Amino acid sequence: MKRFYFEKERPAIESFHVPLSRRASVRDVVSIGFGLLVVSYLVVFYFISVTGTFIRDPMQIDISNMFLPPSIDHLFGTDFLGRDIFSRVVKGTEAFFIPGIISISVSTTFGLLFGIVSGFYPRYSSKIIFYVLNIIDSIPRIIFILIIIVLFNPSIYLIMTFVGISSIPKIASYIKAKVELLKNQRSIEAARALGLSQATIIFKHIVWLSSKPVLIIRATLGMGESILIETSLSYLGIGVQEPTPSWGNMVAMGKDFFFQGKIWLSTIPALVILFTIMGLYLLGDGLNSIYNEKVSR
Amino acid sequence: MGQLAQVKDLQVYFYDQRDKRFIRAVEDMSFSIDEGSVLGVVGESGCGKTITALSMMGLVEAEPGIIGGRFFFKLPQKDVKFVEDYLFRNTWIEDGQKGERLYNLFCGLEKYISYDENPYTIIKDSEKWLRRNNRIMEYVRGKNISMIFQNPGCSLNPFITIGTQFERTIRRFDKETSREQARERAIELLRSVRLYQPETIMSMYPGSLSVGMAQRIIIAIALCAHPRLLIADEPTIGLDTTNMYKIIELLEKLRAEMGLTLMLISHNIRIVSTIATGIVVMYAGIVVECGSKKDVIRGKSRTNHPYTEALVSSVPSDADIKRGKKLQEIPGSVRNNKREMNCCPFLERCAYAVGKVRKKCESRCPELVELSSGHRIRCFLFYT
Amino acid sequence: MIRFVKVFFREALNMLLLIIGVTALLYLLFNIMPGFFPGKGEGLFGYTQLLRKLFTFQFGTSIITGRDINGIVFPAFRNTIVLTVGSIFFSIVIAVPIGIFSAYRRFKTYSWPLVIFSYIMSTIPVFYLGYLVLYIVSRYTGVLPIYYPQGSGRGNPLLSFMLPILVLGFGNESISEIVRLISTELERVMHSDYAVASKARGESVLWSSVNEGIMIPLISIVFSKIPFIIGGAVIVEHVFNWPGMGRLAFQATLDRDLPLLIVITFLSVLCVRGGMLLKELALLYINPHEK
Repeated sequence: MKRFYFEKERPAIESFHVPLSRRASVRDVVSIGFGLLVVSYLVVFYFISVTGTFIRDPMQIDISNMFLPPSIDHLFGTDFLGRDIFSRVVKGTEAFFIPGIISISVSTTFGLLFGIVSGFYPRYSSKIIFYVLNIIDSIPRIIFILIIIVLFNPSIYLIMTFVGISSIPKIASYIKAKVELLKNQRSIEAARALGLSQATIIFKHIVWLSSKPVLIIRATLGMGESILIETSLSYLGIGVQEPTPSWGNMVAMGKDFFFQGKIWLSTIPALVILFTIMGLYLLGDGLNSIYNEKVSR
Repeated sequence: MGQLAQVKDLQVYFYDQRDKRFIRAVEDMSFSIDEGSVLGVVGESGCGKTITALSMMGLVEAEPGIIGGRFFFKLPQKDVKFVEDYLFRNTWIEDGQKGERLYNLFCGLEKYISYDENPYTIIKDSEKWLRRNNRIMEYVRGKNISMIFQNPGCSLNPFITIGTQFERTIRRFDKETSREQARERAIELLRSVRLYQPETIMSMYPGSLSVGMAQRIIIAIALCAHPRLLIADEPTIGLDTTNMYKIIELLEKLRAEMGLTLMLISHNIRIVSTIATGIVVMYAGIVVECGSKKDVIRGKSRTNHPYTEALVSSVPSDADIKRGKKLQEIPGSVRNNKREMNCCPFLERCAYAVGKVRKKCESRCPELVELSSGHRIRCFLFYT
Repeated sequence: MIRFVKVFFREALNMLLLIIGVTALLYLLFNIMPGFFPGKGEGLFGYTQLLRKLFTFQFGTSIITGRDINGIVFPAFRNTIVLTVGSIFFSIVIAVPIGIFSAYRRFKTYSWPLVIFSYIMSTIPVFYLGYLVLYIVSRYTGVLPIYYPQGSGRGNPLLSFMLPILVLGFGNESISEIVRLISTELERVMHSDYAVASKARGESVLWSSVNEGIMIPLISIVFSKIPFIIGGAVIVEHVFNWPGMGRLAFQATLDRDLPLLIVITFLSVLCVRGGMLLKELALLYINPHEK
């Protein structure tokens, strides 16, 4: 026998300021909670890594202690050079933290910029802008990065900038749609009729207020994607190089030891990646569901 | 002709999670439909007419939904065969005249409901009940009972042509039909609803149809499996007056030609009275008057419920009757089989609730009392 | 019918313009490269030569490595197409039933485990998943399901064919997205007016008229995931040694072979835009009203 419950109602109005639904379901709360947990440990790890306050040095080679399985001493065990995996995982956040932030900054700022401009000048500028953006959009991201790598032999920061660039088209098109929608609402006409001179500023505020949730969601998802890309590139060997730890190259180094039964070298970083990305995606989805926007990946 | 269907003591409640209380959609609803007759159900928006129809069809999905009542329907033998072993088990009544059985389509409802005395909640295993009900209703919907809704434009799948729509429905009921046969049948049906040039219509999309045409097409689709009962929920809303009468006329013709039984729901008592044989007047989820058309339509204060009188005597514009008043939320807790209603629901709007009788009106809700054969009223004015 | 043709031409034109744009960009980049490459083309003339080469699919030989591009790219292209299409198919086959199940069981207690499962499977980094699968399979069957050249007498052709498709099917994140999409859209469509009306007229509970409603978003999503899937293919091909364009691209990167990369990009863009074209046509077929 089950207790009845009422079906979740979704506010059907596309309103001006995006409303927060009063009833976030349990699922949303769990998603967001989990996501915030992930974000917090990322920040903590990054902080530890940058300040160098490790309990065990991630770079210290200790041949006598190779291949130790996870224990209290070494939370995640040691790798093939006796280095503590846990500290390496912590230091691994350095590889994607700043680059990831660069990536999402680039994509959101330029996405916003191009989106707004296209929204307000839909005839000419929009067509030109979107032509260029579609070109970028048509190239699969990894291939785009491979080309950049061949051309410029870039550092991870530059790579991530280009990753950000490759995300611009989607954001720009979303923002443009938003702007076009809002442009025609009565409130804007009313504002104009009142002779509000700083019309541009008003529009910026309007666009900002209305797009903020989308941008936040995009940023969260974008961070997840950046982590995935950075780890993938490091796995392939064209991202962060040894001995600097990155979760990707740890998986790569560790995979050879699978057959010897030492699965933790590879599995643990992979699980950390899984956990982190899942947390960020859940955060994005939870926010998505609360704000009732439909942002796709 | 005997009874075709009978609804007894239908209770439908919904639960508002936000305000944490019950909304009584339908309470203590009983009526019966004879074969070949036209039952009109009138009342304002939100009085529970649509919910009654939806619960008959098993389409109520909100929680907790149907919590009590029985719905007897005369199923033909071939359909009974399919569901008998699974379901009915002694839940039928005999139709006196012909000795045929009417089966309770809500059988087993009690098994899924329980009442919690403290703090007065209804517990219902809705999903299991819905599944069980769906299994029965799969043999009933379309083949025995069919329903059409208001707003005909929305009742058609906008992505497929009318022809495809017909084809799918026809083939669903008779898997052997070939495309050609289905098409012919569809054209035949379109002709029977007085649509000329059916071939053109078959290849059109719902978006390009006028409302009148759409409504006729929907009626045609609803009738393609020869159901015995057609429930029409406000079929005339949104149509202009000429069209309104035309549709009603059409329904009457179909009834005569096909031996259809009709349950016509509307807020417009004028429209209903043109073809109805019996009328049920609802207010706030309960029946306030029911009887044959002659009895109800008289609309005099001596013989009818004040509400009916108000409906009939004034020549209402739609705006008047349909005041857009939402369902009367009657906060109440439900006790075991005893409803608790504080007063007559029509109290505030009743012109006759004055003087001595008002005390009774305020103290409790009146029972349904039989005035003369078949004519029942729920009002203290008629208590002897 | 004529609308099909109109849409086709419009999209094809679009596609053409975009490809020209892509090649222009690539050519530009090629030329402004910090002078490592000998023999850059002569300005505009070089560009038209490039275009001609590309559009006639005669890619010539690579300036950098001297490899015959034509010879290696076409089989690789075909292999990657197989991988990509196979994995899309696989994702749909897995994700759609989960989505449908999750929508019909409105009381989500049933579908939670499945949703969580599909989420986890979608966020496993594909390079790890690939290797894990490789490890498990070779542990239990004693065979390493990596691709070996034809006729070398080693390897298990069936496994080495199925596994990469499986892995890419999971690893391209489409599964969780499709599941979510199907369950939300299906729930929305199931309760829309026409679905309830057709149910009231007797159409079956499961199949009543909802297919069109969900097909449209499904097709849009699937086709728009193509660039992503090609990207994922790069990694999967690396893990399984699958002789496709992704592995080729990776080798090209290591060799700094830009012409090969340009050709690969060209073909990928062709796929992506071609996919968009197909998507438009498919949508037009299902939904005759162009909104």
